[in-house]
Amino acid sequence: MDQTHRFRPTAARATAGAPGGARSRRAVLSGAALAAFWGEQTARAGEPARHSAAPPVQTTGAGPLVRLIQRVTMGLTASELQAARQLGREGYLEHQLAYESIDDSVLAARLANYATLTMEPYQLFQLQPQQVVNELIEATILRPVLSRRQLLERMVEFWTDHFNIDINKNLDRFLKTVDDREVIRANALGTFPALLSASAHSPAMLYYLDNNVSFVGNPNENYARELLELHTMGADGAYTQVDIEEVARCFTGWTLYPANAGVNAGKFRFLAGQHDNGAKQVLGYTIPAGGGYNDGLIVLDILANHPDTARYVSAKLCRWLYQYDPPAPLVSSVAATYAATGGDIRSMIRTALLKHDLAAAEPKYKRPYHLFVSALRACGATITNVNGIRSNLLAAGQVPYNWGPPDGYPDNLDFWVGLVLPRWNFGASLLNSQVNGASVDINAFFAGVPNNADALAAHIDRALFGGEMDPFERQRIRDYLLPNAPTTQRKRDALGLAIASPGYQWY
Amino acid sequence: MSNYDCHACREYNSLSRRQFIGAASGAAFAALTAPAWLPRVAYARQDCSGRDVIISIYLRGGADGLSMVVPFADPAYYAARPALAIPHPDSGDPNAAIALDEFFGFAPAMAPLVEAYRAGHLLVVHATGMVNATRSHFDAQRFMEVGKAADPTLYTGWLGRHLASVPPLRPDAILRGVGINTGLQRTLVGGPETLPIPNLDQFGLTGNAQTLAARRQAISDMYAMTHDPLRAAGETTLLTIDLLNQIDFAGYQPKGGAVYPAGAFGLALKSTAALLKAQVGVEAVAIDLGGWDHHNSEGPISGAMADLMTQLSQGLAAIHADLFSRSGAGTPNVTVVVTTEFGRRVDENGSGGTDHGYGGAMLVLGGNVAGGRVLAQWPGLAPDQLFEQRDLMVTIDYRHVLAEIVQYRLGNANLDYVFPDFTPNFRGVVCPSTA
Repeated sequence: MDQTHRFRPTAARATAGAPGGARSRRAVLSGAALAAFWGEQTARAGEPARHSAAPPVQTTGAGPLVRLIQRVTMGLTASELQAARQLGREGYLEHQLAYESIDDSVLAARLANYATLTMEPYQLFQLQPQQVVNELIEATILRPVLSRRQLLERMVEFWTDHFNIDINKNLDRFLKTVDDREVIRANALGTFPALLSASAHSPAMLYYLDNNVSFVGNPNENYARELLELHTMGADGAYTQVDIEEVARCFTGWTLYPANAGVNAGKFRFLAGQHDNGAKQVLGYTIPAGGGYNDGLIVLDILANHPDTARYVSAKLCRWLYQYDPPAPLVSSVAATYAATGGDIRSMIRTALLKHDLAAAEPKYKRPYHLFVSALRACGATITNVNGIRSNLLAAGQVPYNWGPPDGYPDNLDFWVGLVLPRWNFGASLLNSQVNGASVDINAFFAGVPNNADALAAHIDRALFGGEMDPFERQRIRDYLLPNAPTTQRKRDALGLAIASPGYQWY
Repeated sequence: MSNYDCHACREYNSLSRRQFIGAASGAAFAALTAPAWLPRVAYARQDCSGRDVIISIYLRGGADGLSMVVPFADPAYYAARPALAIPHPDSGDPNAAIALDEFFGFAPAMAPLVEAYRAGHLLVVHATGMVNATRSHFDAQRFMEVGKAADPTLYTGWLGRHLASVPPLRPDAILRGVGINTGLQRTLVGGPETLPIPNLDQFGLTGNAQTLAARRQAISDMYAMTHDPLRAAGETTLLTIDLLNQIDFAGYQPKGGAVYPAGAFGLALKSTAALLKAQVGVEAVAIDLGGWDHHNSEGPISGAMADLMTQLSQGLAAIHADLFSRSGAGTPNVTVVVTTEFGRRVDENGSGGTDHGYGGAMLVLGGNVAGGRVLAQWPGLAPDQLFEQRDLMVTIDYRHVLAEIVQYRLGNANLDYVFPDFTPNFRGVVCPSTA
């Protein structure tokens, strides 16, 4: 056996992290170069980064306005760009933040067909669970495509992962609909303490993390642990195993009404007889005996006001809105905003997007849901049903509410980057009527555009990239459209290829 | 308990040498009568390197090692688990544990693996895990897959770094590592020519068939000019489409009477077997089996956990029958490892479940495994023997087991690269490669 081969890590690949100029066909990377790409050489040199390596800088010189639209929306469109140009950066952001004042009647009319979205748990319990699940998932696919309240949808996606609930768990097939409406959507642009409290009272969450069966004498730690680790202080937060056990005692008796409880079925319930009424010690605070239901409220208050929570939630928000490894000063600014405003989410977003140079932010890799929604928006797709979009999301790995563990779909590059095939296929399928229920009118898309390769490629650039498409990729799409006067099929292919292009995978 | 059984290892050495010869001579015969599902490429170059390929199975959620491999001779087990304990093998109970030795037994749902255990192909490791305890699923999985505890600066997985530090099993390999998943498992991150592929049988381009070649060329051109890792993912994907389309996964016929269980896990194992037998150069496959976070209604005898253990044991038993039966050519040497992020708290909770714990169990399956035994330095389950008065202690760092497999079965001596800042102490879990 060959045991003499010695692996010698080489110097970091010269092109790692190089800007767009260093373009040349390269041989397949050696393992050492890949390791270098993953950031471990610099990391070992003492630049720790909590999460995944940042992607190589792939900037095409995105202007601040285009970058802001990419961060604030589920996909740039020509009309969104026009609106942003009229309002300016701050004006556009304020417009999106004040989402209640944005007319969304087109979406509302479409969602009127989904009766379950407004139902109470006792009504949902009467239905077939699959109907309830389907309507929520379908609405979640339609909303970011059709809604004009784009930042709201971005933040709903963020908080849905932050307070993740797997919709496949028995009662959560019914209750996630209520959680989505009354916890996530109601508070997505409110305050973090209110959102946290709503989640802690959410029957869907209590059921998902087994708090509904956590009772005095032998509590279940599941919710308490994830409350500290995932929802508030973060895994690096200053809490101990004892804190988790004490928090679990504080939440004993927080449960939900059973299905036979009439109109209360599936609603939050505090079972005083199942609550541990002894004194507890949580994060250095003494919670006196006999507090009952208030014990849990005190814990939520301690957590919402804890500096670890401000820092953890701010870092995650910056990661979502700015870049994978946000600069420490930016995170500190957002955490300071959290502290100063009592966790006002709108204020934190303003800090994250306006106080630092957004154009300097590194691009992020679209997750499949984001990619597909952005393509549907940019192409002006007509959606009669979402069955095909949903099956494409399944192939790409991101059906809404189908992430099992409580940490939510990953917001990183290394998990998602390998599976490019379903991403390529979505564009090709969409443009060729191979996505059930979704289609693109190619003639309408190119309406008024001269039928030559240059003009068509320029139009694709405007519609999908705000005029900032990678020049090489634009040239390649243009070449695909040659000779001039391309057939409709060629134009379909070109638009599908633009969706599949490397540049469109980023935002 | 002894850690290193030289007799067993010698015995397995000689056994695997015989098997290797048998497989090689069988290959010449089978080449003449190649089954239809095998791609022709499989015969272009037989793998004679003697290096195993590896299937790494991760039980996500923290599998309860005390329910899977029951320490029936430790009385503290029955004291801690009044509702969940699996009865003693001598109890006469129909749901009793199946004795593996004097001390440990399998849960009844693990029965399909008894044959592999008795054949000496299955090693059980207990009171194992990461020596730096965290009861966070996400930190525990991450650091365990990375192969170094509590180091947030390391992103690549131990198996990815292994692939990056050995020459390919086939010099012309297009695809060396596969994660049967929609996203690449951390275990494989950093591996060259490594992709996540959720379904090996569905990997092709859609769109208009007449323009497929031209579109493919455009994609190839654009991805060749972009940056890694997207460039590498694009290039490997294009080549892998052709590679996988040569293999008839749907028509694959397992050997040895193997029956893969229904469901995603069984399908992943079955298509992995087809892929490995095709010998196209894939040398590492990662497969997840999730759902082990049994805080509530654990059901280790007939419930949620029993169902998962049935899937696991039936799947591994099928792999054992299919890949170790040596009844035909094109069967590579395979080592399978099964790990989880942590075991569960020794005391059951009030809802028929168990909360997050520390030490757990691990399985190693293979033709060159010094199996048929439980490797453990049992710390005991009495309250004063527990970690932080609640959890099974870890007495064998899981990396000792993996490092030995990496060096002896995967032919990679660069252990300081695969497991940085770690000094492995081989426990005789596998037999050194005979090639």
